[in-house]
Amino acid sequence: MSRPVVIRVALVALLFAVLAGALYFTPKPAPATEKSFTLVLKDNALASGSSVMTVNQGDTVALHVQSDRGLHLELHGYEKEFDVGSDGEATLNFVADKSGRFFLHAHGANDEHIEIATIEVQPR
Amino acid sequence: MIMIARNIREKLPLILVVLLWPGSAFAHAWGNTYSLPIPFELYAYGAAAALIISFVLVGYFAKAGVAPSGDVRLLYGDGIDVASAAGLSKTLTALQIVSVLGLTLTIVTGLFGNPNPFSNFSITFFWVIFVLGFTYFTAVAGNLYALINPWMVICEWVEGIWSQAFSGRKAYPKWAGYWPAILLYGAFLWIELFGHAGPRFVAIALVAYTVITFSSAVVYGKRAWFRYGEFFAVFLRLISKMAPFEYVAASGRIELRLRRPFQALTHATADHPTLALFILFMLSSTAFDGAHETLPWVNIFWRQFFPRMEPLISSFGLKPYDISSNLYYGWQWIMFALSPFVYYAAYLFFIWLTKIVTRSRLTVRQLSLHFAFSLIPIAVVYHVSHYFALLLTEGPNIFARASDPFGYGWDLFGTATKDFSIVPPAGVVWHTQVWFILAGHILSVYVAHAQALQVFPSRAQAVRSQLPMLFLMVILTSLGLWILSLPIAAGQVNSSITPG
Repeated sequence: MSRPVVIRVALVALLFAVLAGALYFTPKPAPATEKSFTLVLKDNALASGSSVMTVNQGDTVALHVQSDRGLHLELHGYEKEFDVGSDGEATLNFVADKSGRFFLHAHGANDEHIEIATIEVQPR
Repeated sequence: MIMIARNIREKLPLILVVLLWPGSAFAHAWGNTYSLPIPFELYAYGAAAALIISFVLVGYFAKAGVAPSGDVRLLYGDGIDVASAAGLSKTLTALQIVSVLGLTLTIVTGLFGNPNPFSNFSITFFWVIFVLGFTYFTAVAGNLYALINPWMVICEWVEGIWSQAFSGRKAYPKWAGYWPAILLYGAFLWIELFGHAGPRFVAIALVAYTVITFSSAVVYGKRAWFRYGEFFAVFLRLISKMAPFEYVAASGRIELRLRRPFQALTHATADHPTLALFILFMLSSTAFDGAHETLPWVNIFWRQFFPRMEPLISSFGLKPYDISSNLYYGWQWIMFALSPFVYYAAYLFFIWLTKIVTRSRLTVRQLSLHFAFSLIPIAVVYHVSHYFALLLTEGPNIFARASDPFGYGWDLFGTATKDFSIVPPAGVVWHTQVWFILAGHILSVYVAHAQALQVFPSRAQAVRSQLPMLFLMVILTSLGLWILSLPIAAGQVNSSITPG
């Protein structure tokens, strides 16, 4: 092969290696555990509890919600729904099998959405 | 002055809609991707890789020099004559009808359908299928929009009855350049970022845009308006320069031509500084969208500005916290409006450095026009890396929306209640984002080098000229990756709802 062709092939190989090198940064798996969070809502806003909850993919999550108002809650992305009664509490149990950033929304009478909290599921 | 007044008068409907529309309660509802910030190590690796690749490429170009020579040439004979090849001509007409129907259905379902954005055809079709899907399709397939632009198609249909309808009554002022497109693009972006737009808002905005487009085409002629003023046409024309396909309409024929890879970027120059500003706006708006809800950005207001403003507000007898959310949004809007000019100023600074380093006799303005298109690859990959996940999570649901476009509870094709979302794993999203941004960076460096070889007579000068541009591109690429790695600020201003 002529020299310019060798250089071009080497260049393409280098670029490929650099792009492929990003694959080195694959997430390291963590053992699955159980995680539990409690959120207290007053006036449709978070009064106590963390607004961003971080778990690892594969964890079993228990989400306890107490609210002074009756609400319909939905975890987008997981498409899980549950209701909390007025001055009541409810628990959502699920396995965090999908990685990403998912929003817990309260739905109102006219289909409004209020962002309550976020669950970040770190990939395995 | 009369010209400006008329322009404002024509844009008044859109301005009024934007200013007077009551805030919808759909805070952060629709349009969220489920993407996590990329890990710091991946960001650092990406930035370092961009830097190393850039220097290797410049070193290679210094020895080898790979710019394709000559004009845009047809790769394959004379191209394919679409208008005379019977089957293709009918396909084009069908696509034009589909395009106009798409716009009409979006407006009609938006105005008369279910106000829930998850249930209405218009939201998914406009924001995901058209704004995202069709944009990426254009980057690969070329400027099909120039042939099927629904507003332009309607103008042509009207001209079939009244041929002088859109031939123009006044000459388009050349000094205005692409300003109308920039302003309308800005209004569109404001709606996207801050409008919390439900179906009705989007439909009304599209009706207003239709009125603006037709009235401007009547005044200035459709050729001038669809070149300088209709912002989707400007945006998609720029994006289409990435593609190897070109659609050329001439003397009743439409030809499909193949170009050398990226030739429309390397062998073309921006024709007006406002086109360069438009490209920088594409970059800055995507960066702003990525950054404006991150913790560090939000903290600039709450930790730096607001504490300093509290005493001033109190001195007016107002309670700071009562108006804090208005101030916060006002601050975000001002930052958004300034962002394209900040980016443009930075671009001009590096172009000025290029002039100094090469001792070129060309002006900063001329050089800024020459190199403007080299930023398009970075703008495109920024856009893809921020929004492709939304295309996957919401795009496929168009099959459900098609069964029940108004959200009335129909089920025309049996798909109305199914969920077609594709939620990609976080790791896949991260790597896709980093790869795209690195690929775009490499492409931009290559394009800028090819352009430099045309502008500067000696190769040594061309390579020297690349150092400031390289610096700019490494900054843009690192900034893009960094923004992707920032933590998101949690639920900002909540609006109250009535209990269910």
